[in-house]
Amino acid sequence: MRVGRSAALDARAAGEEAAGQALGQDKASLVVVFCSDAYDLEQLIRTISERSGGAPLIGCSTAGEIGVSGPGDASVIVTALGGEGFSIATALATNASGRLRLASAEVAASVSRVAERPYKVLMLLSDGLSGDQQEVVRGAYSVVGAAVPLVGGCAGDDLKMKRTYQFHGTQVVTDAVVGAAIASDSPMGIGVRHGWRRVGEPMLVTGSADNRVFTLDDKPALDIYLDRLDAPAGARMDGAAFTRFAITHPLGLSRRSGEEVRFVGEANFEDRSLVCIAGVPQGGLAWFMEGDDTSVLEATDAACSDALASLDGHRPVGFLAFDCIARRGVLGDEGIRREVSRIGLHAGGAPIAGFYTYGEIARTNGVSGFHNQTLVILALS
Amino acid sequence: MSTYSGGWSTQQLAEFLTAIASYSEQSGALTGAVERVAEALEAEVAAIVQGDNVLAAVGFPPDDIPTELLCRAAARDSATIELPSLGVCRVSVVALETPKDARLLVARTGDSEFVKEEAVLLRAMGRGLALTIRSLAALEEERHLRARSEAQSRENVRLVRQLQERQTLLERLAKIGQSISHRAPFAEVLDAIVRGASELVNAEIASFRLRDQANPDALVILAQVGLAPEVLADMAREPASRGVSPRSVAEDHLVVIADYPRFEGAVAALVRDGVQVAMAAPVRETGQVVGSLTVASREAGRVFTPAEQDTLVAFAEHASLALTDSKMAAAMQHQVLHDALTGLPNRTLFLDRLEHALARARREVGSITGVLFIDLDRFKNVNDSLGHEAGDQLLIQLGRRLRGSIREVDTPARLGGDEFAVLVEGVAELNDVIIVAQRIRDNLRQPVTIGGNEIFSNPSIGVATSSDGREAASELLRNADTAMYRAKETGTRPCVVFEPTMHAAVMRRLELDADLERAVERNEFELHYQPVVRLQGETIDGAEALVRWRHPVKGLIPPAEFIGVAEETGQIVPLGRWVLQEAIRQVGEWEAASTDRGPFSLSVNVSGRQLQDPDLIGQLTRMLDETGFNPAHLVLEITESVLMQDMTGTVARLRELKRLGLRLAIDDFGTGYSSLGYLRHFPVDVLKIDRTFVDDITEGSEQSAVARAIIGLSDALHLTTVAEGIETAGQLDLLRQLGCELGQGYYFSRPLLAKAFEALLRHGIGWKPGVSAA
Repeated sequence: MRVGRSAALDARAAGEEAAGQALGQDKASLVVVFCSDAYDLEQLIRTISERSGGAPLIGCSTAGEIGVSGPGDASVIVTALGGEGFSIATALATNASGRLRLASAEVAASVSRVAERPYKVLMLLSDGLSGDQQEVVRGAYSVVGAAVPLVGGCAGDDLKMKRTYQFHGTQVVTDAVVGAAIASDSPMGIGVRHGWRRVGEPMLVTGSADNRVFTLDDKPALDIYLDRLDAPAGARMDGAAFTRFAITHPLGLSRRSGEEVRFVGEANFEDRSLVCIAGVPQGGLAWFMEGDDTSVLEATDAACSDALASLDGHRPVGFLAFDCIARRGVLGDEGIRREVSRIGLHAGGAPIAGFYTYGEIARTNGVSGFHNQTLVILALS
Repeated sequence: MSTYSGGWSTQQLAEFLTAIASYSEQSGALTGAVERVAEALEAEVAAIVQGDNVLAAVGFPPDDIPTELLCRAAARDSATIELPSLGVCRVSVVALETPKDARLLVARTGDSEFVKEEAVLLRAMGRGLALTIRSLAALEEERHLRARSEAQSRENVRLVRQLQERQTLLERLAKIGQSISHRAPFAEVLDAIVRGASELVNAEIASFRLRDQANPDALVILAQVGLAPEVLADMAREPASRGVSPRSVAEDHLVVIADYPRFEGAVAALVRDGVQVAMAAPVRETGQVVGSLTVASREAGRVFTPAEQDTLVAFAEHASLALTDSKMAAAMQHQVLHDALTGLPNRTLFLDRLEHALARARREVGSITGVLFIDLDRFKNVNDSLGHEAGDQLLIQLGRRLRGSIREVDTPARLGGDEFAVLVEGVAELNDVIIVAQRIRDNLRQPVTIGGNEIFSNPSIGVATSSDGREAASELLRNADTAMYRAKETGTRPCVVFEPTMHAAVMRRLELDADLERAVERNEFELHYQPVVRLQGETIDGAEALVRWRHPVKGLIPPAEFIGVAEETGQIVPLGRWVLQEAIRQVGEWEAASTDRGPFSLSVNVSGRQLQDPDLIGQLTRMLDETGFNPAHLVLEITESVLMQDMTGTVARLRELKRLGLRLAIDDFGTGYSSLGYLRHFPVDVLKIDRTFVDDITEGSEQSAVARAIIGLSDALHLTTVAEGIETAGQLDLLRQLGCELGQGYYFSRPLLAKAFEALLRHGIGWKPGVSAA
C-alpha cells in the first residue's frame, strides 16, 4: 500500500501530484481517494483515474484528510493498493436515500466477485446525510453474513452538512453507497474505539423516528439538549454554530456491552427536534456523553492495538483510518496532530491514510457495526 | 421520567417492540425481528426455525444458510453450535407461541455465555414477536380472502363471456355473476335470474324451481315474477308432476309448449290465469338436474323464437352456475368465516364486521361501537380434569348463551381457545356496552351441566369502544384484549373498560419479568405471617407464610402481580424454595423460644410448578433434617386448580410428600370445577374455604350453604377446615356455628413481618401493631 498527498489548489495538479506519489510506476488493484469537497471533483477523479490507468477506484469527500504527514484540510489523499496478494471488486449504488439498506446490499454483492482468498473485508463509503446509516450495515450484513467484516465511513463536506460526494471509477455522485470487497492472502485487522463517557442523568427517548429525535423525557429534544448542556447563545439559533457545538456533545444509547454513541448533526429550530446520523430508537434510554484529550487519545491507542492484534503477527503494510469529526472537535488542531502521529507510530512506518467522517462503519463481532464518534482502523498486512 | 430505572435489556426490549410493531406483514416482521434480536444481544446470528425450515435468519449470505445445523440446534436446545466460518458459538433458544412450533435462536461467537438477563430478554422478545405475528397473520388472512373473491369474480366474468351472444344478456348475466361473487344472499341471486329471464325472453311470468329435498318428486318455487299469490296457492294444490317444469327436469332438456291450454300436462291454475305459452330449461347443480328455469306468457299468439329459447337455456346454465357456486360458496364462506365448534363467527369475520361498523361510525356521528373481549378463567382445568370433549361441550353451550345474551344486530365470535368477543353496534353511550357485558357475564356464570358435572365458568371481560370509528379494527380488539387482562388480574370487577395507560401495564408486565429474575438473585423478597386462629377461643394455632416482593424502586409488589409471572417463567421454583427455607427457619426459632406454647403449625403455599420440581422432596427432607423442624407442624397448601391438572401424577406426588410426615391443605377450596366427591382421591388433611364463600356469608344465604356443605364434607372425611378472609365478627360467629375449626383474615390480623408477628404471639389476638406494642 502506498499513499500520496497533495494540497495543491488546482484539481488537476493535486490529482497528478497525489496519484503520482501513490502509484509510482506500479499498477494498483484498488485506488482509494479521500479529498475535500472544495475541489473540482470531476476533474480531480478523472486525473487520478487516468494516472492509474483506469484501476478500480472508490472514494469520497471528507471533513478533513488524514495522511502520514498529519491531518489536513482542503487536500487530497490517494491510496494505492497493489500486489499479487489482493483481489478486489468495487460497486456503486446511487439514489440511496429512502433505500439505504437495498443500496448497501447491492454494493455488498461485490463480495461474490472477488477471488477466493483466506481473508475478506468489505469497505463501504456512504453519504452520511442520506438517512439512518445503520441501514447500510444491515443491508450489507444481510448479503455477506457474519463471515465478512465490514469497515468504512460516511463521507463529509467540511461540516457544511449540505452535500457529500462518493466516487466510483470516474463517476462523482452524491446520495450513494460505494464499496470495495477486498480479499487477501494475509490477515486484515479492524479496531474500533470511542473514548467517551456518560454524563448526568439518563433521559428516556419518548419520541423519535429513525434518526430524528423529537422528545426526550416528553419535552422537545432540542430544548432539553440546549438547556442541559448549557449551550452557548449562538448554538441556540444558528445551524452551523449548533453543529460545531454538537460534535463534541453526542448522545449515548444503552447497549449490552456499554453504550453506543450517536452524533447529533443538526437541530431543527422549527419543530425543536434533533437530527442524528443514525437511528435513535424510541423507548430507549439516552445519555449525554463527554470526552477529553486523554480519553480520546487513549481510544486511539486502543483502536490501533486492536487492529494490529488481529494481524496474527504479520507486519502491517498500511493503515486506513476512519476518524469521527467529533473527535477532531474535542482534540483540536494540536490534538489531532498528536493523534495522527500516534497512529503512525502504531503503524510502525507503514503508510497511513484516512479521513474525518460523519459516521464510522466497523463490524467484526455481533451484528451492529455503525458507530459515531469513534476511530476505526483497518490494518492491512 | 428521568427516574426511569432498569438495565440495558429493558431498553432493548422497548426498542425491539417499537421496531417490530412497524411491520405490516409477517415475513418482514420475522426478518426484522431476527436482525433486532441479534443487535440487542450483540450476536452474529439469529434465526427463526420451524421444523426443518428456517423462516428468517441473519448472519449468513441468503444462499448459504446452514439450515440443518440451525434447525438441529434449535430443536435440541443446544448450548453451542459450530457454524462454518464462525466456529463454535454460544446459543440461546426460546420457543415461540406463534408461528406454530417455531423457535427463535441466537448464536454468538466468543466466550461470553448468555446470562439470565439475556435469556429473559430473548424470551420477552419472543413473546412480543409472537403477539405481532398473530395479529399480522389475522390481517394477512383477511387480505387473502379479499384476493380470492377477486379471483372468483374474474372467473365468473370469463364464464359469462363464454355464454354470451348478446350484449344485454352479457350485462345481465355479468350482474348476476357479480352478485354471486359479491356473496349476495342466494335468494337475491335467484331473484336477479328470474327477472333477467322475464325481461330478456319478454315473458311476463318467470320462475326458478328446485327439487324439494324432502320430496324429490316435487319442485319448489324459490323465486318468481308474474304470478299472483292466489295462483301460487292454487298451483300448490295440484299434483307435483304437472306442468312444463317437471317435464323439462324429467327429460333433461328444453321443453317448449306453444299452446299451453291444450297441453295435456297443463297446470289448471295457470290455464285459469290465462297462460298461453310456456317453456322450461333444466337447471343443474354440479351436473345433476335439480330444477328448472321456466317462463310463460299470457299474450295471445305469443311464440318463443329460437333466439329466445337460446336465451332461456343460457340463463338456465347460468342459474346452474349460480346454484353450484352459491351453495358451495355459502358453505365455504361459512366454513372460512365461522368457528367449527360453536358455529359463531371467527376472528376474520369478526374483524371484517368490526371494520364495517367502524366505517359506519365514521359516517354516522353520535353512536358508539363497542368490542367486548371475553376469556374464561381456568378453562384449562375443565379440559384437564374432565377431558377435551367436556371442554368442547362447555364452549358450545357458552357460545349459545353468548348469542342469547346479545341483540340480533350484535356480532358474537369465538376468537380461539376460550376466547370470545362481541361487537356491540350503534349504542348511545359506554354504559349501554357495559350493560351488555354484565348481562353476558351473568349468563355465562350460570352453571353448565356436562356429563353429570356442574361446571361453573368465570368470564373476564374487557371492553373497548370507539366513538368516531377512527381506530383500526385490530387496534380496538387489541385494546379490549388488554382490558380483559386487567379484568382477569383484578378478578373481582365484572368488566374492565380499556384505558390507554393499560398498554403501559403490559409493558410493565414484561419489565416485571426481567426484574423478577434479578429479584430472585438479589433476594428482594420478604415473608409476612398471617395468624391462623382457632375459632373457638380465638387462640393462635399457627401462621401462613406469605411472600412479598420489596422492589428497590417500585416498592412493595403484591403477590397477585408477580406470582403468575414467576410461575410462567419458572422463577417460582427458586423463590418457593427460599420461602420454605426461610419460613421453616423462622417458625423453628419461635418454637424454640417458647416451648411452653403448644404445637404451632406453619402453612406455606406450593405452586404447581414447584410441585412438579423433582428436587422438591429432596430439598424438603434436607430442610427438615437440618432444622429439626417437626414435619407434622408443616402444612403445604396447594390450590384446587393445581390438583386438577394431571390428577394421577399429582396424587402420586402428594403421597410422596405425605411420607415425609407433613400435612397437605387444599387452598381456595370451592373455586374449582369438580364435585366435592373427588376430594377423597387426594391425601389431604386441611381444606381452606375460599374467601368468596366467606365474603357474603349470612344466615340462609347461598354462600353459607356452600360453606356448610364444605364443612360437613370435611367432617365426614376427618379434615380440618380453615376459613379464609374473615373480616367481621358476624362472619366469625356464623362460621363458628357451622363448626368451622380454624380461620384467618383481617378480623384477626393482617399479614405481619416476623418482628410484629412475634409481638402478636406474645400479646395474643386483638393486639394491633403500633397500637399497644408495650
